[in-house]
Amino acid sequence: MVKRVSRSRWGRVFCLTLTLSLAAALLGAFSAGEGGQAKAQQPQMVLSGTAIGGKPGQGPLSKAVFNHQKHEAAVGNCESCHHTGSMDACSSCHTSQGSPEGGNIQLSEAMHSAQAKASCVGCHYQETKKKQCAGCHQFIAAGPKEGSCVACHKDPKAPAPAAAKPAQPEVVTIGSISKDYQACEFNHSSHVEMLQDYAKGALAKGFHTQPDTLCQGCHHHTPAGVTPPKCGTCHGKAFQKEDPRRPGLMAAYHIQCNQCHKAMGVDSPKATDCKTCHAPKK
Amino acid sequence: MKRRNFLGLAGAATATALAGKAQAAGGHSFDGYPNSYGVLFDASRCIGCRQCEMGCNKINSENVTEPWTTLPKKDPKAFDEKGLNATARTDASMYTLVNKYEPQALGGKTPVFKKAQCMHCKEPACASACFVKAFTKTPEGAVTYNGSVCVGCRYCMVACPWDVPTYEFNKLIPYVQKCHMCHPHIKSGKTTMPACVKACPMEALTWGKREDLIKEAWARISSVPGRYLPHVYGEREMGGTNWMYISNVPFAQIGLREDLGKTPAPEMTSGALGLVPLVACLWPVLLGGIWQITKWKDERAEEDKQKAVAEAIAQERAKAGK
Repeated sequence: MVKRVSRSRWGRVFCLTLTLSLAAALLGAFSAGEGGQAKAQQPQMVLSGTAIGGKPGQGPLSKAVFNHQKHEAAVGNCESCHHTGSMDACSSCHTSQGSPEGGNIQLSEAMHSAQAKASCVGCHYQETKKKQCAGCHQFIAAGPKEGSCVACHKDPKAPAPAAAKPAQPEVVTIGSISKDYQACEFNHSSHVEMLQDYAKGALAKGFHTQPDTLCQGCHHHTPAGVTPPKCGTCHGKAFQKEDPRRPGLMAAYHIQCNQCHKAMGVDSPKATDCKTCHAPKK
Repeated sequence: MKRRNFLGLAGAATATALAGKAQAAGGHSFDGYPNSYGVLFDASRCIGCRQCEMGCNKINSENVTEPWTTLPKKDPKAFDEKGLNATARTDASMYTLVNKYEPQALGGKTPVFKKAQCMHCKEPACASACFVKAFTKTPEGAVTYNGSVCVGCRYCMVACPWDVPTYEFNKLIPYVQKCHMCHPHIKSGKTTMPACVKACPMEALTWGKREDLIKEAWARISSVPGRYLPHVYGEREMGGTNWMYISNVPFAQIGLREDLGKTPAPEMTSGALGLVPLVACLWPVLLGGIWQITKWKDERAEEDKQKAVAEAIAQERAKAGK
């Protein structure tokens, strides 16, 4: 039972003060926002962390470029990252070698831990679980990969990669079992267009560093800029002793289609509706 | 049989029983047949298409010689999606079936499928319960059934913790029916792997050596942390099974018992059953001996009495004769 306590006079004074101060703060914020409009052209950039190999542009890795303003807008509250409530720099507790104040978690770990909520990589990993990303990202393990460093540790002066448009077929005809069923017509371009539509946000654009990164969701192991081989080039018989992790061709197709549709919440066609892809022969 | 021979035999039997019991109690362990084969089921991959059921029915209903490994032929239309539910069990007309669950772990609406069949235990409870040795754990991994010796007691059905063996209650000459991991078909060269595995379009079923499958299971679990539960069902359950499961939802929510423990079923009964020969051999000797001693004592007492009476009579007669 919650017992209701009637407000005392002091309570009223406190409430009034609170309301007044809130109003003042709001007004202040508004005027600051007016002033900030001019600065919006120049997003607030923070170059954070230890540059591995020297100053920006001088070594294999530059300092990470962090757009504070965009992140502030995206997460909504400061505590998402400033998990202690203090607005001090991360490195004040998470020193490069770790300190007891920071739970002996080094700065690199605080930034790159894939399982932590407040770390850069951890928070971004959570983002990949959204339906429009999960199709490809479900197969990609959490944490930084080789080659993904430059997504953050980039030289701000370096030229942006050319927006190449890899050649791609409209329809892919899959006829592996065309002896028994009609060949399956896979609408390649509509799949690509849909994925491009999902990945047009700033977050996806920032991290899909190559123009054909998106292609690698299905054409895994094919380096960017190379025409992918046919699935059957690598996927053949099932359960090969030398490589148990590699599915046979039948499973490679079905896993690719079904797992992606499942993760992205695509209900049609149903996974058990064989005839939509494998139409009976006339 | 002479008394001496009987006692000698009884003594030998007792000694054997005692030795057997000591062995069972002292660090009994069977690590399973090396290089035995098994199957790994991945619940996160299964889409519930029931191709495995169709494959199983096809191979086990056509050109099978033994009546106890023959299933009735089913129409492919019988394996439609509407037939899927969470409660169905294998019956005498099928060796395997797919169950559909809507686990709480995924919000109670997303379906997760599980294929049910014989787990092919490393130390099968059915085989240990069977007193005519109708079940065999083959070195290849499968637990097979020989209907020619079966007496129909159905102890195997009671013993199995996964309710796998089923009975042909509707037949005049009934047999127990249970998945044999396509052991006869692989032996005869009809197929290279169980028909269900071959039919699976998602490779939700993986065929291989048990040791390799365990490695593969853990490799999948660790490849994307958080996708699977860190548990390979069947690696240790009931002493280990040759059919194993990995899942993205708790096993209890897809109808797999989590209360079974790691002790193989035969080990639980071997202590008590090991005592049976001891009781059977020692007790007759012991009770017979007691009876014999009592009888000797009575005889001796009777003899003494007769003797005393005879002596007394003789004395009395001698006195009277004087």
